[in-house]
Amino acid sequence: MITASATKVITGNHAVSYGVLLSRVQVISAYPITPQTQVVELLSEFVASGKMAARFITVESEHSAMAACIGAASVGARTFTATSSQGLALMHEMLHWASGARLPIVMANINRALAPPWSIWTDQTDSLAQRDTGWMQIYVETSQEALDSIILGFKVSERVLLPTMVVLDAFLLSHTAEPVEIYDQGRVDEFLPPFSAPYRLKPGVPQALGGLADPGVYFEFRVKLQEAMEKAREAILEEGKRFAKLFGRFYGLVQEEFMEDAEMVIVTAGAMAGTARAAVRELRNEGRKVGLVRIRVFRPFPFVELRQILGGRKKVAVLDRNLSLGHHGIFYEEVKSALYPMAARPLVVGYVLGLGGRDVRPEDIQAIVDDLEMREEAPEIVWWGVKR
Amino acid sequence: MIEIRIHGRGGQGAVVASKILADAAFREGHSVQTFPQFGVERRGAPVAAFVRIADPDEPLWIRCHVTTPHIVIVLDATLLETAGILEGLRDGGIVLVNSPQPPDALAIPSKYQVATVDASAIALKHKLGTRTQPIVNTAILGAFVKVTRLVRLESVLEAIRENVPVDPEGNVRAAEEAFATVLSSARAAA
Amino acid sequence: MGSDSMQDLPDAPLSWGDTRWNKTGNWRHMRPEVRERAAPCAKACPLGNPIPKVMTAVSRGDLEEAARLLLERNPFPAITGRVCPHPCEVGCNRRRYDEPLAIRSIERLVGDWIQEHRTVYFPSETGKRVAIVGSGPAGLAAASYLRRQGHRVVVYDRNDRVGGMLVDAIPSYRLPRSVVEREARALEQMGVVFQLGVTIGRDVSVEQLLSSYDAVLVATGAHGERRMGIPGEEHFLGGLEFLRAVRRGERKPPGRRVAVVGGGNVAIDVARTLVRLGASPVILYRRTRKEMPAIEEEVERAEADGVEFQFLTLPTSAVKLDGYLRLVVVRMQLGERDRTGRPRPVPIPGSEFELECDAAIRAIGEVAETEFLPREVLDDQGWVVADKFTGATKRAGLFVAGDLVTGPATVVEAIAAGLRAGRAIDRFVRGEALPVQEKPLPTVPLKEINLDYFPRASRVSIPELPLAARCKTFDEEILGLDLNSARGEAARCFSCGSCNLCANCWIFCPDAAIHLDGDLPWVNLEYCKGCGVCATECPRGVITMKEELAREGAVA
Repeated sequence: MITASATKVITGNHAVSYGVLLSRVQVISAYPITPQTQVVELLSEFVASGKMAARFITVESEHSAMAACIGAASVGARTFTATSSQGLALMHEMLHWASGARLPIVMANINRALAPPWSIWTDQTDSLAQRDTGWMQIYVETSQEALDSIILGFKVSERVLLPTMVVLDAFLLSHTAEPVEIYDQGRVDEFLPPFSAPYRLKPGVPQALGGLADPGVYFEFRVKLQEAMEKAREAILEEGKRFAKLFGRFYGLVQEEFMEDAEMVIVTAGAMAGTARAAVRELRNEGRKVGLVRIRVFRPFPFVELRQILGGRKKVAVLDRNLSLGHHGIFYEEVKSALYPMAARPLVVGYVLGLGGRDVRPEDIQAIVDDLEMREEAPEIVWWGVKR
Repeated sequence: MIEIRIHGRGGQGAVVASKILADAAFREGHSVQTFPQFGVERRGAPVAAFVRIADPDEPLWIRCHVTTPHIVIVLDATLLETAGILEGLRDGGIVLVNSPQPPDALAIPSKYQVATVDASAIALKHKLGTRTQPIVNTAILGAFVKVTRLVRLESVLEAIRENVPVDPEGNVRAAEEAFATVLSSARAAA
Repeated sequence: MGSDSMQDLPDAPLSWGDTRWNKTGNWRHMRPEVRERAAPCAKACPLGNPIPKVMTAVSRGDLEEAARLLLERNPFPAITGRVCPHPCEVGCNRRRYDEPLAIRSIERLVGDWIQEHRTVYFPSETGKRVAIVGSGPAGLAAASYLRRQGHRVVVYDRNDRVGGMLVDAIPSYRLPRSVVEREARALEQMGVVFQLGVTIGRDVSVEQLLSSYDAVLVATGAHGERRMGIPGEEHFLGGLEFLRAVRRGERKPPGRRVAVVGGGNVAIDVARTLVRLGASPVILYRRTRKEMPAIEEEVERAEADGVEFQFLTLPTSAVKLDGYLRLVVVRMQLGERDRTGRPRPVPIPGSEFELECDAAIRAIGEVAETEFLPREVLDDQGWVVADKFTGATKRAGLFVAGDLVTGPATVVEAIAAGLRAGRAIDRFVRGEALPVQEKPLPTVPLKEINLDYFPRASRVSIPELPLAARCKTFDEEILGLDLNSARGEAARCFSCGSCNLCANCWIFCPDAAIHLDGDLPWVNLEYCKGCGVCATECPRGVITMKEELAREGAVA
């Protein structure tokens, strides 16, 4: 057991593993090979060495991994899995099952581009394609945030009875080593007590979970799911504040920086936000009125916050490392829909860039700001960095 | 912020070297970030790893490749013949090469400071890796300390002990020997 | 579900109450039947050893449980674990899938464990007294059984040591004497009395025994050596006589080149013993290798030892010349099948040839000596007449077992016969009816094993002395498995027809109708829909689906 907090240089993958260890997860089920990451490799070592009192169930597919998680969570176990790209896509059916059955499973998804052609590099389309499955989605920027979001994920999930997907960029976070504080178990236990499930299956008293719901009741169950998502906004903020008190780090729904008097705003998510921050700081040093908004929580979508933050600004650039084929960048689409009810909307331009791990540099962000400044209207998509 | 790029071949330990270096700098309070060139590693294939080291109060926000390094470390001198090894290296930057030859013998432009150390021989002497494939990553870090003075030798040795699972003391001795034997050209005029 | 308001619904789509009111059993057309059946290995075993259960215990490393299970059927696993021709391994379903389990080697491991960990068993006394004549495997098995039932048991043997053929004929490279001695000592500790050097019929009569004991078992074996009836037969040594001499320390071969006549186990033992004494044996057998009655594995080992075989040959005379023997041998061909189903060997006229050798040994079969038995239990030819199952003779209280009745057979068959007679005698002395043979359980064929659960895996390799070394010594040639290899090997067992509570049925049952709270899973038919998943997923054929009988009220 980790008795004293210590800061170590570890990768994002391993930060997730430590988050799971500290959350005292009881069942881990995962498909062990590509596109799997070192997240579960380290967890399997924790379990094998006895460092972690959990059952580690390896399965033949991600679909089965999620099915096993659902089984474990149905009897009240704290349950975790990790996957990536094609593996997440294969889980799709079971993702609906987990949320519909109100099981507070937490998963780490390493953003990797979907095949074909094969790619193991970062791209958010895999997780964003699961936006309607009823999972909360947290896009983290640092390895520390990854570890923290696992612990927070269980806390919020178990409160509102919805599953959480913690999303990390492949390589940019997953394989990058940086200092991460690994907390002492005592403090984590204080924040995250053992899970006591309000609904759970008991072998001696058979009940049906997810049985047939006729048209007389199905609708209401869906409304309840949506209400749970709405409650989650509040829960994320409240638990975030509690977490900050104990651990000194606060995470909300969105993160805004350099926003005072900002006329132009960069909106993005995930690891790209760090690169954007460095660029925005440069531009601020040059005296330009540019701000940054990082969308941390994608589901439930923070439309109220975005209206407050972006209302009254002149121009907004949404940077998407993802693409909804036949439409455009997914964060772009969501930001626009959030702002639509406002009478005075900023000009919102969607930039699609960095797909499949294409490097995005601070210079790119600065150039995007220049590009935004010139625009008077928004085309459907601005492709950034495509070799024509 | 100092940016470092390490070139090697799969199996030489470039990624572990970057991790040790970052860990050593972190032990001295620096902000650090390290990552491999994102790809699918194969034994013998050229690989690269990156390290960023910044002042303690300077957060490392950016997450993109190192394209304009201050320092390039080359674990296999034959890589110098391939394109791109010195690409983007800033003028006055440092090139540290694993080579038995003196710095002047390498065909490296004079705008760079060149240092060489026979890390392969040192690794063999300390029985690191195999005869055909010595693991040179820890030895080269000893030389790195002497040439750059970016971190202290003790920090690197501590980081080696923390990050090398097999024969850490052999690796420590290799780093110490490389520290003592590295040869450096005069600092290039800035 | 039904409600007027969202507030009435739970957050999770979980049924209001438990689902036990919903007796889904009334959907059923087929019902699962949980019934253990015989494994082909156990069925092939003359002792009916519960092999699958033993394998399960060994695979878990629980040798104590394995010993308990084995001892229920086999008093001497250390002996059969060495010399049994293992018909179980022939029956093993794995044989038709990859390779049979090394059952005998595992039995030996358990047997050796028993010899080292045995605790003395003191039965409560019945006061009944049983005499057993003959301390071979049949007699010892009966003694062990009867003593455990609490009867006083006295074993007579004309020999000065316990074991009969086990110590007199079977060579020590197959069965070290110490193994038999340990069993004898254990019987003694349990209270069995051995009267050695007493010949029944000479020193004491069977009648005398019958009058002083509640029952008598005669298990004297088959020691009379069949003769060939040819001129010069006096120059042949008897096979058993030779083996006995060697087991008593004789180490000089009767000659360098020695002809051995016969194709049974004694002939093979003689030939392999000769190799170990430095001689060059040649086996003359009148049929072909296929018809040899000897244990196949022993024939293979004899071939590997370098024993020469001349099939389809029969000596017709022997002449002693100056320091050597000249045999006249005729070549044979196979003719029509005889009563035993084997083709009859017929001499080929004019095919005689001469074979010179230093000595010749005859091992063409052994017969029982029965003259000492009361006439009323013999037939016209002097053969013993007895019930095949119980060994009971016409004479009340007189039982027979083993080779005496069957002619030469295997150790395991003798043990089995001894145990059957022991059970019958136990009933007899208690004044109860003798047991009758039970109908054997149906067996589970390979096609009823769910092979998806059993990856192909090769048989453990059994350690043994290297060929060159084994031919120079009488030390045991086959060595024991270590516990880890035995566990791995036992884990290959399909456990055909024998439930080991793997819980597959319980895991797969969609109606939670399977219960595991007994020795066998049981099905709560109120909920079983008869889907058959349990039967499909039972790896070992314990669960089968049966047509449901017409229900009450159903249209016939």
